[in-house]
Amino acid sequence: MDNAKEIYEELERLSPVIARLKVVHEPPAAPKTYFADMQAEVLRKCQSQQTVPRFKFLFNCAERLHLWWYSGIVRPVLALAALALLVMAGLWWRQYWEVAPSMPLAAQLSEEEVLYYIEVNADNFDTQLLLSLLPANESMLHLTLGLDEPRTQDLMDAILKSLDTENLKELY
Amino acid sequence: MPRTSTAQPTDEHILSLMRDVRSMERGLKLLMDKYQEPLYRHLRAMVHSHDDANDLLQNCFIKAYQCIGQFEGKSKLYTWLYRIAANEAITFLRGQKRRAADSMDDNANASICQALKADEPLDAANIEALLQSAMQTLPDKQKQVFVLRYYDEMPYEEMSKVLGTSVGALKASYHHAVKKIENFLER
Repeated sequence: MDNAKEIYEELERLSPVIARLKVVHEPPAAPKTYFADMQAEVLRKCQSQQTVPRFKFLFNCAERLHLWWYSGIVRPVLALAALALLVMAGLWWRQYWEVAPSMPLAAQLSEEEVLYYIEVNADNFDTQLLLSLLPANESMLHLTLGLDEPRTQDLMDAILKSLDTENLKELY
Repeated sequence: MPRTSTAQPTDEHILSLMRDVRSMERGLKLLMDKYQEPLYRHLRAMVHSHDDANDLLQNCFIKAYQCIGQFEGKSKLYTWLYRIAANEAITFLRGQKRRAADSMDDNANASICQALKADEPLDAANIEALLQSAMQTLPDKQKQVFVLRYYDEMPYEEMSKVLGTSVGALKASYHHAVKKIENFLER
């Protein structure tokens, strides 16, 4: 070996005595079965310590997932997550499609509001229907004309005054 | 460079295996097959004791296993592994309070030194112990440079990458280390 020769020549220049030693020097050898035993011991220690190697690629998500997958952790976690997702989706679906108990619009209004609505939209209602809904002693004229009761009375008076004898005869 | 005799898997193949969760243990096995001997030799030279070298080598491979994702491929895999091993060894040596030579007594050292001076045949079995005694006199960093050059026969450029030191500084450090060991042997 060139390197060994070069090193020996350098040593010979520096110290012929030590160079002479090196010629016959035999560094101590390991016992016969040492390396096999040592390897078994190292592997055993690595396994017992459950040494997690600090690989750079562990920071790669795919590799990390791969490791977790083989470690047996990720499968139950994924199963639980999937189950939770399904339950949440079911709850959301039910809430979304569940028909809220219908409430009549009229029930949400006060009596005054209902009457006002009927007055304003009296023309759109069937007269017979309105008559059947209202109390019997209630004057219906203001409803049919869309006026309140005092104004209806005033209107009736004005109409009566404007009627002449001939018209009254026709009416009666 | 690692001394490999048979066809070894390439570093790229080992890295690709180790970067896949499903094959990382197989990759680690191949990594150990390929580099365990040179790393053991380095660590054994650094700490001398087989048991200590064993502990450090295991730590070295476990750290490589844990941190392989941080290896960016800017240097060779074996350079990176040597860096881990070198750090392990330095940390160990700093934590080790006793600095005295522990494997040979002074009489044994003296007999080898005497043989060197008298140009007598050297006892190969004891040279390692003698060198270990001599290396105990070196500062940790200098010892590391000497081990990488003398035992591991590593080029200065690679040593520079392993230790993060300039080539010039490494040459100077190695020369100083050799001179100190020579002085130890000749005392």
